[in-house]
Amino acid sequence: MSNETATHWRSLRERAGDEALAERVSREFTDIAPETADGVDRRRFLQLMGASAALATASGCNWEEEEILTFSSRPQDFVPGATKSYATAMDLFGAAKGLRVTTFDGRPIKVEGNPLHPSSGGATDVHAQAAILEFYDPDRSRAVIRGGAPSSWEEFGAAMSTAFDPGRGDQGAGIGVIARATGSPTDARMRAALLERFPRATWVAWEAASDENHVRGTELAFGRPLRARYDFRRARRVVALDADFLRDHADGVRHSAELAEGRRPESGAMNRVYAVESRFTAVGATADHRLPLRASDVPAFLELLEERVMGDQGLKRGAPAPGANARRLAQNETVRHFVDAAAQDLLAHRGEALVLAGKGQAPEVHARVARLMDALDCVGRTVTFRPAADATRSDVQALRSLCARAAAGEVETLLVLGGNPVYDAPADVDVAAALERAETSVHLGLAVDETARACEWHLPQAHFLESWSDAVALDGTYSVVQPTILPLFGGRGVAQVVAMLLGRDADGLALVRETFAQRFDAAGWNRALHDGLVADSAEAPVAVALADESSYRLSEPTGDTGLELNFYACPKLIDGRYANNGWLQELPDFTTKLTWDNALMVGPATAKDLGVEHEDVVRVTIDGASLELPVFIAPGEAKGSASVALGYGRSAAGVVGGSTTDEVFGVGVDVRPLRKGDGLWTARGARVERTGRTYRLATTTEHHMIDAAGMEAREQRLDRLVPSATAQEFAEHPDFAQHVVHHPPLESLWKDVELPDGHRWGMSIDLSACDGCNACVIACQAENNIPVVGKEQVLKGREMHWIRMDLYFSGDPDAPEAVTQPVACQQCEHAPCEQVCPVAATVHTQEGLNDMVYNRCVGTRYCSNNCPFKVRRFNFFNNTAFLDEPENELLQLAQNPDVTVRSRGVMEKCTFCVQRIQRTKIDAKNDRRPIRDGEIQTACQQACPPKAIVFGDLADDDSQVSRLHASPRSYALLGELNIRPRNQYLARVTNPNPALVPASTDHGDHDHH
Amino acid sequence: MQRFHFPRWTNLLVRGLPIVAGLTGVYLVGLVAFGGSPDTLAVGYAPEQPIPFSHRLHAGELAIDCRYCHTTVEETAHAAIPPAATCMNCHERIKTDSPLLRPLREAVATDRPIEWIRVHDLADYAYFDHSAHVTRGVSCVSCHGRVDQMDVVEQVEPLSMGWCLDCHRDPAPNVRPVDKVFDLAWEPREDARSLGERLIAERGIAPSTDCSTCHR
Repeated sequence: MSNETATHWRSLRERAGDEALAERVSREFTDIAPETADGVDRRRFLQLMGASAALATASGCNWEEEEILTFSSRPQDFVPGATKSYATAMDLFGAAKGLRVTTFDGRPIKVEGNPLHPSSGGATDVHAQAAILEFYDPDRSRAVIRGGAPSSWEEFGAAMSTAFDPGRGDQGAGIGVIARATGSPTDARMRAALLERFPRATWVAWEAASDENHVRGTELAFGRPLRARYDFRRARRVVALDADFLRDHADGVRHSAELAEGRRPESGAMNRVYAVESRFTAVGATADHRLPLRASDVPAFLELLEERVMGDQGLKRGAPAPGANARRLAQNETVRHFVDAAAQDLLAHRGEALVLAGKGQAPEVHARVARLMDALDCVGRTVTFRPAADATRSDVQALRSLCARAAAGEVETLLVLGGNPVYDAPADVDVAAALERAETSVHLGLAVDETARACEWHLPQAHFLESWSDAVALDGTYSVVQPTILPLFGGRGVAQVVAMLLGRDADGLALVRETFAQRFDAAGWNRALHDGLVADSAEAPVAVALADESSYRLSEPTGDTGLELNFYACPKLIDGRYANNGWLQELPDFTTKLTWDNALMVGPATAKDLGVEHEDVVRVTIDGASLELPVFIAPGEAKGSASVALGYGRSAAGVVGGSTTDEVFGVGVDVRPLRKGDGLWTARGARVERTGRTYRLATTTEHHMIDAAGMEAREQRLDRLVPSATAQEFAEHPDFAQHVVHHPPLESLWKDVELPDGHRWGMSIDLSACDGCNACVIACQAENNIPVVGKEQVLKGREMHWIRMDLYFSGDPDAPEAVTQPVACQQCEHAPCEQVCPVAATVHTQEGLNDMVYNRCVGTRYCSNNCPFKVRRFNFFNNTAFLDEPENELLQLAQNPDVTVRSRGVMEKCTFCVQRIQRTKIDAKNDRRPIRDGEIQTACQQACPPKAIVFGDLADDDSQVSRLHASPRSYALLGELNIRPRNQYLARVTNPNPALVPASTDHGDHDHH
Repeated sequence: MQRFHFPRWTNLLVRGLPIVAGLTGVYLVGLVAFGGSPDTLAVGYAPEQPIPFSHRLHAGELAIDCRYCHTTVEETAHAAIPPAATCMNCHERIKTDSPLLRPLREAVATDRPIEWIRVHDLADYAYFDHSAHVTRGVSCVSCHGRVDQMDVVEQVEPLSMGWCLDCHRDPAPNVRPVDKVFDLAWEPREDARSLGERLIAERGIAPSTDCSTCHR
């Protein structure tokens, strides 16, 4: 059975009609596999089983005595058992994400976005959501360590007093600092103070996944280091040049929100996105047009684009003649059409266009993009520039020279203040040797990681949820980072450690208040704490003038032009800093739905050329360095290009991410041996040989598939699996989504139950806005105590996420289009699950929720079998037992006390966050007022950057969700089954360029359905 | 030797065996149902507390309002057990050297909590909210009994799911004017049911029996 004709497919094997897959899908229990020893060691297994699980349920029976411990003096305004939220911020890559942290009885349990903050607008990304698990990670370091033995902050201070003696004559020539890029003004102030006291000391910022090329590019173009801030609200046309501006950017959450405003057809004029990229990213899936192109061909593409925009056919500004590579590229008809169309569109939208280059592109490309933006009158409109402070600038050359000096014995004291350069520095920068040679080496970090193991001293770093600091957004808005709890392990922040070295008061609060007083009126402090930011503190953009173009001439690619290997920051683990975070490790990747691994991603055509198959283990060799990686054949990967994620193969992350001392293998493969300082993002001339071995990759893309019989029935009913239309089709037939399915009139087999007047909860998910960022998945996991099960269980189809982020491809596997769709329980009014439960463990409420009663469930799994959406998740094991082990007690604190912990043999699924519904209902009734529309937000809705998810009361005709359900775009998933889901989707509408689309009439047929 | 034969009448016993087996089954089920029920196990539970605090003295004779100590009962789920500081409001001057109050003084001096024993203990998967009940007119006395007459607090109701549902299905006997919620001795002048029904109609009280009302 081949599905070559199927319009939508989730995996390449499904598309090709793979027999083994069909056999597996046809079995009744696809997830049943012999429970043999899987070779997972016990400790790892337990850790994985519940890295996120839940409070061990103390029995509620009276014969087990329970104590009530009260404060001896309760703090004012403290209400036991009630949650409070505090505004704070998280600094990642030197840019602030404004957050609100919910605390329960004085401990943080959930992170939300701060609606007042310009970088978040109330939403979050996966990293902010997963910060809770990072905070309570039992593998965090708990004490100051010197040479493997416990020490103290006092001893550390005493040991540093000679090196940091102000009376020393060498002005700190022997001091070297490697720190993360930090946007914290207090950190920057301490850095400046250190460099002032010790002018010959060296301070290097290093980030393995930095925007160094971008800043260097603006420096080339404008003569000073600047950082762009993009305004997607004003951008009507976007061309992304290998730029994943949604995931791989410090301001991704804001980009996602702003871009989505122009993706909804009701917005009036829709925006249009062109993506030119080497691997399939969220930008490519969102884009109206996507061109798979090797990263090393992107500069050539830019030259062609420049020629058409700035040359004689365009602005007549004079564009340099395209180089040989660009001329070669222009011979490709697809590329030529794409460039022409994009250039025409840009020219038609001067001042409203946006061209961006990715962080993997050379500085010269970024400079040329800046020039192009200037030519299109976009600077100051869709893009503004602000100075990039030194402390925010990662610099690989500076790191290299510091390490070389240290290795030569010129650096006496080498401090690593945050970060893990031993693991994430490029292969040709030997940080470990530098630390080894230095007389004194110090590491400040959250855990005893690879760098800590190489250092004499390790200092526990304070997590942002437990420390005072500050941060600035990309527009300069100032935020205070305030602690929600005292440091769990006496950790300190970077600024505190530097202050201590300088012999100053190392009180975090005092340091931040000092910074605050220098910038603002100290009277505004409480307001800033409350709001999480200082209003109107954004910096004005700087005026820019283009430098002479000779300074940013593109160089033609030379040398081996064989397979290129692209490194990219893992959207989950980034550079490996989240490797010990079970939530993120188990999160299915956006494109591949891969969990618990990285892999060499190649497109189907490239795989054929290389003669490799999915899950083959291959040896990749570049310039003599080689590495073994499993192959993942990924749709949409550009021909001649392969990609691999950073952040895997840790040897000292912890019992989740890998730790040699705990005898836990690293998750995935560390690609450091292949990554060089002068090719941080792209290495050319990769050789790939099969080793003859295979390796199983735990991808969820083929889970919950439809078997052959179901597929056939589906094809009879559906024109296409996911209804979508172009803006033009939508204008002609706004109700296209209602006419995709062919079915007889819907008659109910049983009498409808009359529901009393009252709330009718419902949800709407806008597929035009959703870009598959997965924030909802992790938010749901954090809110609802969803356990992590580990790779072995994921391989058996037993992942527990209540939200499944589906990705449906269509078209050519090497250049597919895709639509992403989050699917959770649809809360059917005629719920098929309810009718088959023998013990009434899943029943309907008066308000239309499909309740799941854990204590009644006996685990027959009939409900899951009968669920057409496959959104029910079964606890095959007691995923919470490990929490009773003393070393994991800390993780108990990460659980939401408002949600029951599920045990073995129990089914679970999305509840529409019923705990939030109940809380708001009770509060509103206590105050004798109705519930306001939008007052109840589900966890997924609250986290969603593009605000694609809307929850509310369908009984109220004016509620936002009612209005969205009334939209012509609104359709119910499998509505033809007459199950009446309370959740509806708004069909995706794209806005392709008519010049690039063959005329199509394939929209819903009105005559027969 | 003649083989032993059971007398014929023993066949009657064999016929009776199923009855015995049936009765044993009924007995076992009954034993577990009764012996394991909250009525048997929980009602009357009155553990000894670290300080023999008497509600009869404080709430009864001295007529201190419930909310003087259980401050959060109208706002949130928990009717918080008071911090030691609340006790010290009076006991800084009264009975300052009572040996019974030593744990209290120690708690204040050392900032360590007093280890009270929980009397009314619901299952952890049941989410009860005090504020939702007292603001609707369900008095403390409905669930906790005449605490103002107890020297040692004991559980007087089973607090089982069936018992909760009894009231959720028919709240009328337990609804009273909101200002009488904390008056444990209050008796309606009219029939409690008709008063309850009137109040329910006036205030639109409609307790839910959906599972997710209490289980999340």
